[in-house]
Amino acid sequence: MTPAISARGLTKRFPIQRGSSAHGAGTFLALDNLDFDIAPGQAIGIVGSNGAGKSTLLKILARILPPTSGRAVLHGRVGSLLEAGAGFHPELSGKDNIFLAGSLLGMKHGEIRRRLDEIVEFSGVGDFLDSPVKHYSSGMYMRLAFAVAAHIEPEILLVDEVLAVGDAQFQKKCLQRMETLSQSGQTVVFVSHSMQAVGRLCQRALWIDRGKLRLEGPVAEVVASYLKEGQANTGERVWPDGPHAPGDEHVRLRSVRVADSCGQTAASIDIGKPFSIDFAYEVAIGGMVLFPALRIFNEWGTEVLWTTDTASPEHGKPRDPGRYTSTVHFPGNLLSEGIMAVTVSITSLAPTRTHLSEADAVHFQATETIDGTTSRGQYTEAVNSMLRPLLNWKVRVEPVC
Amino acid sequence: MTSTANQIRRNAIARRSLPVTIIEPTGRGISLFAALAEYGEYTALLRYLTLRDLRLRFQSPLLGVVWVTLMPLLPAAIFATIFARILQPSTGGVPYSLYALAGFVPWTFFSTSVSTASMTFVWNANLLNKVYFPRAVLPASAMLASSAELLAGLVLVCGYSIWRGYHPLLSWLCLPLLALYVAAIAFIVSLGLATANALNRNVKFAIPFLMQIWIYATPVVYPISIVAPHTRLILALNPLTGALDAFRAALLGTPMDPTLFLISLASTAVLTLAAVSVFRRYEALLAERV
Repeated sequence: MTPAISARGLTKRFPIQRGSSAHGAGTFLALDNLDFDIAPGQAIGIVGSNGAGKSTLLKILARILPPTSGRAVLHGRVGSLLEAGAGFHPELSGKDNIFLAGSLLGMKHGEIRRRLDEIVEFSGVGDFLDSPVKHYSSGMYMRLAFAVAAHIEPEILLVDEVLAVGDAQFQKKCLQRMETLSQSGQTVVFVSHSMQAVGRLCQRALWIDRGKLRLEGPVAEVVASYLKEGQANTGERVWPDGPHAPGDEHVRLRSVRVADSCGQTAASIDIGKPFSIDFAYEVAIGGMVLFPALRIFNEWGTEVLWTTDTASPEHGKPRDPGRYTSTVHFPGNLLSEGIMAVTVSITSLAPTRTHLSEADAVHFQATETIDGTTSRGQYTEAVNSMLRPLLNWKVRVEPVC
Repeated sequence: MTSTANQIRRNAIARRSLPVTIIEPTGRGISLFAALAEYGEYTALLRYLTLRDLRLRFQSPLLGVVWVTLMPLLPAAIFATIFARILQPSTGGVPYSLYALAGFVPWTFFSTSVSTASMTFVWNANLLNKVYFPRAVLPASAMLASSAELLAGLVLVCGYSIWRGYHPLLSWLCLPLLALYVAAIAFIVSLGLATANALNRNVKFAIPFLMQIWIYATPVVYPISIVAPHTRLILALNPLTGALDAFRAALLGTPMDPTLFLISLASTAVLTLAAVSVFRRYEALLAERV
C-alpha cells in the first residue's frame, strides 16, 4: 500500500541571527535526516520535548516551511490545523469568519455553504452568528474556530497542540471529533505534549529527539520509552554557565530540582506526601525587584497552579547581585496523579520585563499509593480532578423517627 | 520537477485520483502552470479576503465613499489652483482641473493600492506561519479591494467631464479596460515589493520615496507634451506613462501617442517577468523570513 505520507532524508536547517549583524551567524539543525512512512487511515502522534523539532516537522508537511534537503510525498488533500482561529478577524461577524477561515483551510465556497449549519451547530454560537467575534467570549471564539477546522475533510490532517487552549470540556470535544475523523479513514498527524491525548487518539507514534527520529512504533511502546527516558533525565536540570542558560543579562537560570518529602532529588513524588521544587538563579545586575514564579501543568496542558514568593521575606525587595535559590514547599494531598511539567519564570515590574520563562524546565511524575490516607480513601476507580485536596468533612447522623 | 517526482505523481493518478503533494527544498518547485492551477483552487479564499478588506475599509459606507472621492479630488484641486496659475501648462484646450483629475484618479489608486498591497506579507506574517495557501492571494485580494476606489474614481472623473461640457464618447468604453491595465501594473509592482518587504524590513521606508519620485516620472500633473521628444521615450519606460496617456485620450477624446502605449506594454511585460521570478524564488521562504 502506498503510504499517505512518506519522508526521505528530511532535513531543516535554520539560520541563527545573533544581534543585528550577520557576523558570526550560524545554523541550527532543527530536523536531521528523517525517514518515515505513515500508512493511510492511521493516526500518528509525534512526541518529543520542547524544541525537538516536532512543530518544524509539521510545518514542513503543511508546506509552510520548505525543507533544506530531502523530500516528503503526501498522497491526498492536506489540511493543517496549526492554530485554531488562524485568519479570524475580530471585526467580522461569526458567519463571515466561518467563510474566511474555511476558505483559508482550502474549502471551496459551495463546500462551506453546505456545511455551514453543521459548523454552527457544532460550535454552539448560533445566536451570535451575526455579531462581530470581538464580542465573543474566548470560549465561544475557540469553539467556533475549532468547529470550522473540524469540518474540513482532507485525506491528511495535520494537528498541532490546538488542544492546549480551551477548557477541559472543549478539549474532550476536540479529541472526540479527531477520533471520529481518524476512524473515518483520515490520516491524522498529531503533535501534542499530552501523552494521554496521544495515547487515546493514535495507533502509532514517532519520537523526535533533538531533530532526529529516535523511535517509531505502536503508540504505547513509544510513549512508554519516551516517558521512561524523560524520567531518567528529570527530577533535576542544570544549565552550564554562560549565555546558553535561560535568561538575559540581568538574571540567568542555573538549575531546577524536584525533591521528595525527604529532600532527595526525585523524578517521581507521592501525591500524599509533601514535596518541594527549588530553582537556582544568578543575578548579575542588582537593584531590581524580581518576581520568581513557578507554574505546574498537567498532561493535558492545563495550568494546575501558579505561585510566586509572596510569603518570603525577600518578596518585593530589590536583589543584590549573587546566586539565589528559591525553594517552594508543596503540601501533600494537593496534586492529582500524572505527569507534571514545571515552568519557571522570573519577571521584574515597572517596567514589566520577563527575564526568563522556561517552559517544561523539569518534569515529574505524581504517583499515588492507594493506602486509604489520600483524598480518594478506599475508592479505587479513576479520579479525574486536577487537584486532590484532603478536605475537612463532617458527617452528622440523625436518628430516623 | 525531477523525473522521480513525475513518476510518483503518475503512479498516484493511475491508482486513484488523489492529489499528490511533493515537498522539496526551494528552487525545485512546481511548474508555473501547476502553480497557476493551484490559484484556481483558492478562488474562495481570494473572494473572502477581498470581502474582509472591503468590509473593514467601508465599515461606515458613507464616510468611506467620501474619503475615496476626496483622495484624488484634493491633490487635483490643489494643483489646479496653484500649479495651473503659476506655470500655465498647455493642455490642448482641456481645462487644467479636468486634466489633473484625469491623471490623479489612476495615480491615486496606483499609489495607495501599491502602498497597501506591498505590506500584505508583513501584515499577515502570522497567517503565513500558520496556514498554507498560495501566497500571492494576499496582495491580489488587497488589490481587488482597492479596485473599489478605482471604480469610484472612474465615476467621479466621468461625472466631472460631463459637468465641464465633455459629452460621453464611445471611447469611454475603453476606460474600464485601461483601469484594469493600471490595476494589473499595480499588482505586479505590489507582488515584487511585497516579497522584498518580507525579506528586508527597510524596503517599507523606501516605498513612500519611490512613490514621490514615481509621480513626477509620470505625466500626472504635467502634459507629456512639455517634455522633449527623446526624454519622452525615457519617461515611456515607466509603464504608467503610456497607460495615463491612453486613459486621458479615451476620456477626453484628445490625440493619443501609440508609441508611448506600446512601450508601456513592453515594459509591463519585463516588469511582470522580473516580479514573478522574484516572487517565485522566495515564495516558499516567506513564512520564515517575514
